Amino acid sequence: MNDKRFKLSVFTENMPGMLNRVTIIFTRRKINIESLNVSESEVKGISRFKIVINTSEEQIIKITKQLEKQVDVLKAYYHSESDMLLQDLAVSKPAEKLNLLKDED
Amino acid sequence: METLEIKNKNKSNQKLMTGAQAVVQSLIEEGADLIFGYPGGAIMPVYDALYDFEVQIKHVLTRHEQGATHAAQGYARATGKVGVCMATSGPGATNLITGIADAQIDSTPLVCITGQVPSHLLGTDAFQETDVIGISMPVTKWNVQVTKAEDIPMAIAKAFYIARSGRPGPVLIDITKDAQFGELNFNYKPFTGMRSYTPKPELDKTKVEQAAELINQAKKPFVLFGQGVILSNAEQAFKTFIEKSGIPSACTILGLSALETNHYLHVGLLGMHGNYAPNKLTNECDLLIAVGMRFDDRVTGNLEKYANQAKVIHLDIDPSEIDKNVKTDVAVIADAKESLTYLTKLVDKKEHKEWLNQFRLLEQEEQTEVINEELNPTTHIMSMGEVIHQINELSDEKNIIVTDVGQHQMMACRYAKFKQTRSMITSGGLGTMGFCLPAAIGAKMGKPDSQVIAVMGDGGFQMTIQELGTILQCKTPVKMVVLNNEFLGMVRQWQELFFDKRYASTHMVNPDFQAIVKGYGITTKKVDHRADLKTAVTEMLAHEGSYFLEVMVGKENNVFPMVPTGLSVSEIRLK
Repeated sequence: MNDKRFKLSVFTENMPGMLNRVTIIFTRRKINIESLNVSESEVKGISRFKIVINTSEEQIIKITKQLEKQVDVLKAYYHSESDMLLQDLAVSKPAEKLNLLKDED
Repeated sequence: METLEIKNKNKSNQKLMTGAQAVVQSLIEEGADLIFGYPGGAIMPVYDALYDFEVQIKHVLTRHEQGATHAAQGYARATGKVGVCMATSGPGATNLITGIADAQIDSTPLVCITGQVPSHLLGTDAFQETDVIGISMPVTKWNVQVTKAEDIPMAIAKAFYIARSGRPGPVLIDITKDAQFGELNFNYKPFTGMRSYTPKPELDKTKVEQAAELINQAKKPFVLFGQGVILSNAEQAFKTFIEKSGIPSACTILGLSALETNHYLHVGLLGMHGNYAPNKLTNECDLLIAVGMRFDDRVTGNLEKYANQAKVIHLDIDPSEIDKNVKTDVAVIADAKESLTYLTKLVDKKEHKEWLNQFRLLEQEEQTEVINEELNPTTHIMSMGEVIHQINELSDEKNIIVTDVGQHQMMACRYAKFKQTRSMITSGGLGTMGFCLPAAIGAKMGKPDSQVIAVMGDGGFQMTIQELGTILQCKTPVKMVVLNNEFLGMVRQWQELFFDKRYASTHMVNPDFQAIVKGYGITTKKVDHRADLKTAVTEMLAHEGSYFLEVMVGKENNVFPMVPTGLSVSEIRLK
């Protein structure tokens, strides 16, 4: 396959359901989302989605247009791997007994 | 008028009212005069408010929520206005989904209002609670849930704006019961725009100039037109364009009636069961000019063998349609009326006589091989085509044909003659059986002066047969024609051609339709013999009220020509 790694930046109005509106575009085309981050952008009330997927150049163009077609999406951009700065962050914690169900008082 | 009274009583233009009253008042402000719907627990406050506004806004009680959406679609497609439908939460809302999906793929402006359980019960699996926002998201242009009374007017204003602007589509507003009961100061402001949405992209004139250059150089240009011409009210602009440039033009099924069938440049219908010439010559033209159409797979056949020799110009309002299926050389992203008007100024006045003649020659071939026998069969068995032909012969210009889905639909699309725009209403992209009867009711209510003829098969008719009750209650003078072959004909045809005649679950044992329809107080007639057909169609068209005509047609007749799946459009088969 000609799949490459792409990152999408999607700017949307900040409202309930936006995450669903954005992700169903990938679900419908059976594209797996490798990573996803949503946070408020520099402009108040506008969210920035950062989405990483593996797909073809042709498909990523179509997806970008489908994202922009959504009424509450302001703008969608895609970037190829060469434009990306990938950062890994490792967080570690000394092992101790885990109790996930109870709050630690 | 209630609206005026409110304004006169209160100088600040505000009035205290409930959310439910605000729903009705907002609909009136948007110019809605008809609502198709079905009441239930979670939408009851709105129905209660509607009771006070029966003069300004009429509610049509369909017999199923699916019927309400299709009726709203029929209304919207016939009038060009936004169709409104309403349902309760849970099953009421989920029953809307088929119609919404149909409206989404066929770009029909709808505003759907659903009731929802009170906001404090959201997410608790309360009685008749479904996540209709989640369910409808993939099939709506936009949707929103309202949980506060004061947000209702704005939500409805926005819904109408989004539904009707740009490439139209269905919008859903889910209103919790507490929002309907809550109070607000009503002050209606029509919605004028939002930062994230550009309904009409600005016309890039350089693109049009490039397009004109290609058109002026082309020896064998070919225009494909779709519903975009109708949706942007560009029928006249389109006609002027093709007449000046002299280009042969073929339509998609949703483009039918945008240009009158008998126009000298109309060369027929594209697609799987379309006409021979336009399919064949798609692979011979040197320039394809697509106007307001989306290169659906039923139109293109095998994409790898689709018009590879031609340059492609695509005029569409929706940027996501450009290069989606067919790669374009020049894309003009704009409202069709604007782009066509400018394009017409730039193209040379031409006639493509020889090229047009190529279409007419192939048309003759189709006429001898297929059409003659279909319209005037040599056997005693009646064909679907001859019934459509009879309707053409006996009816006038104000006809609106509404169809269901299947063989009869293809026959109606192929053989009905259209003289004015918006006179063909059919489920294109979704292919929804059961669409016809309720859509015909909506079309008739939207265009009461037009003769509305619903053409159905025996399968699709039974999918929404309950809407006969709506016709009974509203006295809607719809003319119904059921072409009965006691089969799910299109599937049977495929079984015959591609599945070794293994007729799995396509034979239908039907009830006595005459008895059923009589039960609804509708005049009926059944025709078994050709000799009775003309009289029956004449009687139906002249009849004042609703009329049901059942015609027994050949059980194993097929629709031809046909582009079998996977083959190229130029490999279209005449038999």
